[in-house]
Amino acid sequence: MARLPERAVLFGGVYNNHLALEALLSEAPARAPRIFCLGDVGAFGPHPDRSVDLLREAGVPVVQGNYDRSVGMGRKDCACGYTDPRDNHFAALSFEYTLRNTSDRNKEFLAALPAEIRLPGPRGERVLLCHGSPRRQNEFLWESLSPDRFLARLLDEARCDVLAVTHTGIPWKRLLPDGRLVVNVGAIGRPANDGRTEVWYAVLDLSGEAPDAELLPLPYDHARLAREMRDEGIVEPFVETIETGWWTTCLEILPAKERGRGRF
Amino acid sequence: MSAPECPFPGLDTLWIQVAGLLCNLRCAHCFNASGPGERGMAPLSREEVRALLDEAETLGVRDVVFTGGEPFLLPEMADIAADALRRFPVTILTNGTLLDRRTVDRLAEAAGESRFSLEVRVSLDAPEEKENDAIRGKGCFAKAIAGAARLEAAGIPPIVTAVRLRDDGALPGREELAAFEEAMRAAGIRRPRVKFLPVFRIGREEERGGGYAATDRVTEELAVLLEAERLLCATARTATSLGVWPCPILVNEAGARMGDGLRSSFRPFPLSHAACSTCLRHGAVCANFAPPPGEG
Repeated sequence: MARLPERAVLFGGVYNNHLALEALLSEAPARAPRIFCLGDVGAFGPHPDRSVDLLREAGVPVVQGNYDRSVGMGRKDCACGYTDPRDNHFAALSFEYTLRNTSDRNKEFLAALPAEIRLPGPRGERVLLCHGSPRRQNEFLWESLSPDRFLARLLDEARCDVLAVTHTGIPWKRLLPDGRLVVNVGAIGRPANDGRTEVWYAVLDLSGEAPDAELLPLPYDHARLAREMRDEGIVEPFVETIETGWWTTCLEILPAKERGRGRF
Repeated sequence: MSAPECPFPGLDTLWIQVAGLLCNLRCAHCFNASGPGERGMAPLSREEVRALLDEAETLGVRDVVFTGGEPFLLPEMADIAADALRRFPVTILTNGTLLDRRTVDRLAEAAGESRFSLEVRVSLDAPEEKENDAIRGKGCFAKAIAGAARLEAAGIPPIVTAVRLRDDGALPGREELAAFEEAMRAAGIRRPRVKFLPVFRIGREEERGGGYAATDRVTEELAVLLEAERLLCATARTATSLGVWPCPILVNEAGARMGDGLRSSFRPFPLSHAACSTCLRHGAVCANFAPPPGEG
């Protein structure tokens, strides 16, 4: 495959937020010549086919997330792995909604997505794009649970110099002492539990001495998304997050540090 | 018949049995029969823990968990936690009854200075005094919930950990969860976090609730069907003053010891113990967050 250019837009966790995806696709060309999606096209939001169609029309390479796999395979749940019965209740509702409203053609597309994308960077850096972690599609890589030496081990095992993931919904980056980079690009589907309505993505920058990534907030018409969600009968806690920027569900997966920064 | 093995791709979580089996309580269901005066397994010193942390860093370990016994019986525990937090995310399992103001302030200071998360899991087995204290001892409910509230006030959101004695599953219903949350809120814990555990029919629980049946064994079919690679022993080990064990549950169980040092334990563990069947049915039960199934 062709080398990555010096800059590439990386995003993940679309969660059916077709309005944020539209905003991203329109601003991405000004940021970088290439764009990649790290998976989880479906989840909390409305009209799942709209997001899948947008990605297909734009020809964006997509890595498969756990949600894509579950929707694509027609599984019985999203494999999100919550143990809180309320989170499971809400997760089941949005999964059923997404499954019901995804066309067979798009399910086939999601089922056929690759588990990872590997590309050489401009200086021959081994760049790995995946969903959760290189070793597990639904492993959470949280900033506060990732010592440098642990990340270095993951990169060694996966044989890469730059690793980009999503899955947790909260962006962060770490330049390791050995000059390698790990970036969690966050999610464009829902805010990062920071009290802001913008969502987050990353621009990978391989132009300098060391690899870097810029984490960028993305404004979009969140009020319209909230209206569409309500019109579709999507549960109120999900809509509240879109409107306030604070997570109201799926909180149990948050480690203490990340939990402490949120409102709930 | 040989037992199916749990694979061991590498060490993510190092459990440290820092207090040995020494505890200020003598809970009726304790799986490793810890208690006052239980000196069969010595606690670890701050220096011994430091040596383990050095080795864990070299091995690329992700996080460290302290357990016992009761870790806060050790006067150095808050300093030991601070040592670990400089290098790792840390979890401490405690009965909560010894969490005085000074200890909690020291923990909060160390957590605030760290880039990593500190999780403190406080054991409560019922959301009210009578049922809880019948298992854990008189006065424990009030002391533990006050300890948890002190953590919360200091900015460490506690996780109440409850063993499900009436139903040995790890997944509770909504009412059961709500009852624990209500008890925590009543104590001033604004954002209650609760983790449920299944009961392990070993240690003191064997006498209280009965042991495992001969049929409670992990078969090859079960190991494949229920994804043995999700078990804690696939990515964790427990270091003690008596050597290394596959998990915190089987510490001191006959035949489960894996070696003197960490590296000597880096091999698949045969799931031959009856308690392994509990883990397999409920996932990696002792982790803060059990990994979801599938998607290898």
